[in-house]
Order: sequence, then structure tokens, then C-alpha cells
Amino acid sequence: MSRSFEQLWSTLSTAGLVDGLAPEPCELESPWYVKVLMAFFGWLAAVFLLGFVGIVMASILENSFASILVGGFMIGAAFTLLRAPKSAFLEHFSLAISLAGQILVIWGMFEASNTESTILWLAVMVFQSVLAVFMPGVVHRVFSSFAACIALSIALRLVGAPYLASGIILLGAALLWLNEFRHPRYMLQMRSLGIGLVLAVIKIKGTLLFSSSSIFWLGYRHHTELLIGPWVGELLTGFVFLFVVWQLLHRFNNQLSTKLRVTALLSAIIIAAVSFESPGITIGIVILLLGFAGSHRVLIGLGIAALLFYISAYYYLLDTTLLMKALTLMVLALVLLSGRWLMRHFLPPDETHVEGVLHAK
Amino acid sequence: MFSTRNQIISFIQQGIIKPEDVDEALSITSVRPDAKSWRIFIDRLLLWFGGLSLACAVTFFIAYNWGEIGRFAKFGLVQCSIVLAIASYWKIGAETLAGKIALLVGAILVGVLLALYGQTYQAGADTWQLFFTWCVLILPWALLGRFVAIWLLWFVLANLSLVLYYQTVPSVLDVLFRSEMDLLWLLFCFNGVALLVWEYLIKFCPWLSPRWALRLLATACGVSITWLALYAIFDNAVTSSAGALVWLAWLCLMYFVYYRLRQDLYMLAGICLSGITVFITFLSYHMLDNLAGGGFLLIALILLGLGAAATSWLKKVHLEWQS
Repeated sequence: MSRSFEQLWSTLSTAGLVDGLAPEPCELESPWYVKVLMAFFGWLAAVFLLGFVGIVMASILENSFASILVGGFMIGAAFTLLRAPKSAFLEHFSLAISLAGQILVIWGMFEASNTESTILWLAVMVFQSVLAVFMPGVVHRVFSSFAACIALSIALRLVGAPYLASGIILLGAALLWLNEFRHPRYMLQMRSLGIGLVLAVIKIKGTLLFSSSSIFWLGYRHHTELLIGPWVGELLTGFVFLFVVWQLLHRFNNQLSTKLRVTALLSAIIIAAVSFESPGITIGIVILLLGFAGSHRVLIGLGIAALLFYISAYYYLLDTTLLMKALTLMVLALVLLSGRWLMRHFLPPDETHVEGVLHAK
Repeated sequence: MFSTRNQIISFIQQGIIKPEDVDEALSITSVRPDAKSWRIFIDRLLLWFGGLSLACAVTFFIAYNWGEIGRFAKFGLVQCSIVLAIASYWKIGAETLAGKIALLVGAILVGVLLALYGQTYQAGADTWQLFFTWCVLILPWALLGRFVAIWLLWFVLANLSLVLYYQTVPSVLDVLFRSEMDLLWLLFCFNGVALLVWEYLIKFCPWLSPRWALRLLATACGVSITWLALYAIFDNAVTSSAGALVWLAWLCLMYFVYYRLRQDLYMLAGICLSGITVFITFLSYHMLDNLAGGGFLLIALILLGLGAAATSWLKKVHLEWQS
């Protein structure tokens, strides 16, 4: 038993939150890069399995019903294997056959309908959502929730509202991460879905940024009239940002003065308004806030990566001139740096002073 | 690494912490940050993001090449910004985060100044010269600043200079290697030496200790040598096999350093990824033509077996290091 664990148990015990002797420490969770490794090998093995199915059982791919049936069977087998006692090989194997099965089912759905409609993509979204909720395994849930979000974004693109996707998915991610500890039975599921949604929102927004001046979306050549402009999407993202700030302030309801809460909300509104012209920045900030709020280092890393990516991608955005972009970023920089100066001036880092201000009603 | 967050999650899931006590448990263990931690976080976020936005704003403005403003005004703007950044570094303090970020902004603006010079006077210099000069000019600041982010910028610029140099100038390594592989060799050697020197200097300079920077260098190094090994599979020339041999030596060295000497699981995961990728590519290249569909199934199963073995080993090592 490590010293850190003993200290943690002692802290909880002193506060009267646990009693008795300390249990055995929990099994160490694999670092994120081990999970990425597992996901990569699972995905690659699925590609080879599909190659096998495509060559040896080519007739399956030609018959939509057979394709769906075999795909469904493979997913069912993966579900059974994933529920079995833990074995690294079985976990990898079930991930690979499930991914190959999913591709077969989706292939079959498209073959059967003979067209690419919104309804079909919504069906793919529902199919992936069901898998994300019910299939055991962290990596599988991340994959499925990511795929469900991509299907949703394509469906929205087909109805002419592609810019809504990132806001809706970001809201979903925020709700999951803010309520992470509220439902002990579903914590693992919520975390996996949360990571899938965050990865999807970064990808979808990034793709939109690089294709905002054209009609191409995810390489999807559909000439659909835009029903909802990009500004609605940015507005939605801004509202999600304010919602997250509001929820985080709510956690300190009894400690923060009304004045401080109003100031924090106003600052968030100003930052959301100033970054309105530079898409994606509020998404990066929201991910960072969610990560810090739960001490989730992977989420913090994703937030930083997203911020750096969006600010660099802004250079290549063709909708506005570099002069306007420079102006936007200059205003943003002035707001942020003067905000910091004001914060340091009126809320010094000295702990006693902070407490004093925090408790001043 | 022991994670308070994961341990608390485990207690909550096992019912050791009652649902009504969860909020308090999260607060007293700092899994949910207190007001003071939030204040520090927001302070840093505003500083980093503000500094980055400022540097990008000046860069974008100069890139716009506004005709209404004369060249002296543009030079004046960039030079004043650099002087302001360095003055801030000096005034705020070399040891503070704000001072270091000011120096980083100054280092970025040096590149903007060089780009403006090239844009205005059409000096005829190659692009690699811009990045190389930028790299050389900010080197004293990188040495002085003792800030990992500036060094990261320096390495990105150095890598870019190498890539652009290779594309412009005929290769200097043609005598030894095939020209298509020169760039990969250059990047591997440069990043590999940088990684070794960085690892060696950590004990003398504690500010070099953040692992993420080392991991980025190791990733750049590993990607180059893995490509060289893959190249050796598809190319039958004797010169290409050097790539495979060096790749093998690199795997052994990385294993020895990061399993025996330094204990870094990320690096070991990188070795597994590189090793399995090269092995599966080798199998695919030699088996798929002969075995057709059966080859796909066989490779899938081998891949799953190797993947499972790699993740099990990594988990075991992780557990071993913690206990």
C-alpha cells in the first residue's frame, strides 16, 4: 500500500467520510497511450478481418441482408466475449470483430436503401449510440460514441445545418463531464462516452473549419443549401460555454459573493463574444474547463491541443481577411491580458485575501 | 502513477463513499479544485492564451501585407513588439511564468520580423534560410530563458529547416544513402541526438524535466526510424537494409534506457507500436500475395495476439513500477 493511498484514506477517514481499515488500492488504470495502442491494433485488425470477409465471403458483401446478418452476429459475439472474464487477447479480438461487424451492418444498411439519406445517417447514429451504451469496454464505447457523433454531423449536413453539430455534441459532453460523479453505477460508461464526444467535437469542428468555404463536408459531396449559418453554431457553442461556467460557479454557491459570480459570468460572456469570429476557440476553452473541473489530465491535454489547433487553423480560414483575423486576435489578447491584470489587482493570489473576497457577501 | 482521482472513483463505485458524501470527498481530496486552485488555473489560462493570441495577431497582421502602411511602420511595429516583449521579460522577472511567456512571444516575433524582411526586400533567400536564421537568432534566448516551450519552438523550427533544406539543396548524404531516405536519416539523427542530450542534461537542469517535451522528441525520432524500417521492407537495395538494422538497434537502446534506467511507459508503448507495425508490414508484404483471404485472417490474428501481448506487458510493467 503506497504512502499516497494511506494519506488519501487518512484524509477521508478524518473527515468522517469512510470508516474502518483501508481496503486494497484499486487496480491501476492503464494510461491513455496504452488505450490508444489497443484501439489502434483493434482497428487495424478489423481492417484485416474485413479483407478476409471481402475475399473469402465476397457474396456476403453483395447481399445487404446477409451483410447485416453476419455483421450483427459478429457484434453479438463481441458482446459475449467482452462480458467474459478479462483477457487482453479476447478484449482485442472482440473489439476487432465488433468493428468489422459494425462496418458490415452499416454497409448492408446503405446497400439495402440504395441512397444516402438523412434518415439513414440518423439510423447509423442510433445504432452506434445503442452500442456506445450497451457494449462493455472503454475503448469500444469511445469508438461507438465517436462514430455516433460523426453520423449525427453528416445527418445535420444533409439537412443544411452542419454548424449545429459541434454545439450539440459539446453540450452532451459538458453534461456528461459535469455530472460524472452523480451516478456511481454509470461512471465508467459516462467517462467513456464523454471522451468519445470530446474527440468527435474536436474532429467535427476541425473539418468544418477547413471546409467552411466550400460545400464539402467530410469529403461528402452533397450540394445542400445551408438552412442555418455558421453564426448560429458559434452562438450555440457560446451558450454551452456560459452554461459550463454557470454550472461551475454553482458548485461554489455558498462561498462566492454575488458580485464575484456576476463578474465571472460577464467575463465569460465577453470572452465568448470576442472569440465569436475565431471559430473553435470556445470549444477548446470548454474542454479545458471540464478537464480542470474534474482533475482529468487527458481532457486538459485535449483542450490545450484543440486550442492550439483552432488558433493555427484560423490562419487558413478563407471567409475573412488576415487583417480582420489580426484585429480579432488583438482584441481577444487585450481582453484576456487585461482580464488577468484586473483579476490580479482585485483578487490577489494571497490565500487569505482570496478567502476574504470569496466570503464577502 | 497513483491517481487520487481514480482511487476516489473506485471508492465511489464500491460504495465505500456514500452518494451523499461524494461532493465533500471530491472537495477535500482536491479532485474537485477549490477556489484558490481555480484562481491559479484561470490566471495561467488568461496569460498563456493572451500571449499566444497577441503573437498570432502580429503574425497575421504582417502576413496580410497591408498596402496602406509603409514598410518602416511595419518594421517599427514588429521591432517595438519585440522590444516590448523583452522589456516585459526583464521587468516581470526571468523566473516568473509571465516573464517566460513574454520571452516566448518575443522569440515568435523574431520570425515575423524575418518574414517581413523577406517580404519587403525580396532578398531571394530560400525558405529554409528563414527558419534556420530564426533558429540561430533565438538560440541565446532559449538558453537564457530556461523554458521548455521556447525549446520546443526551437526544435520545431530546426526540424522545419531540415525538411525545407532537404527539399531545396541536393543531398549531402547521397554518397552514403539513397537520396529518398536522406531526410528521414537527418530527422532521426537530429532528434535522436537531441533526445539523448536532453535526457543527459535533466540531472543538471531540473527545468528540463517535463516528460511531455521528451516524449514529443522521442515520437519525432521514432516516426523517422520506423519509416526507414518500413522502407527497407519495400526496397530490396542493400543501402535500405541499414534502416532496418539501425531501427533494431534503436528499439534495443530505447528498451534499455526507458525500462532499466528511466522508467517511462510512454516510450515502451512507442517501442511496441513501432515493432508491431514493422513486423505486420513485413508479414503483409510477404504473405498476402501468396495466401489471399487466409493471409488476411492470419495477419489479423497475429496482430491481435501481438497487440494483446504488448498491452498486457505494458500493464504489468506499469503495475511493477507502482509497487
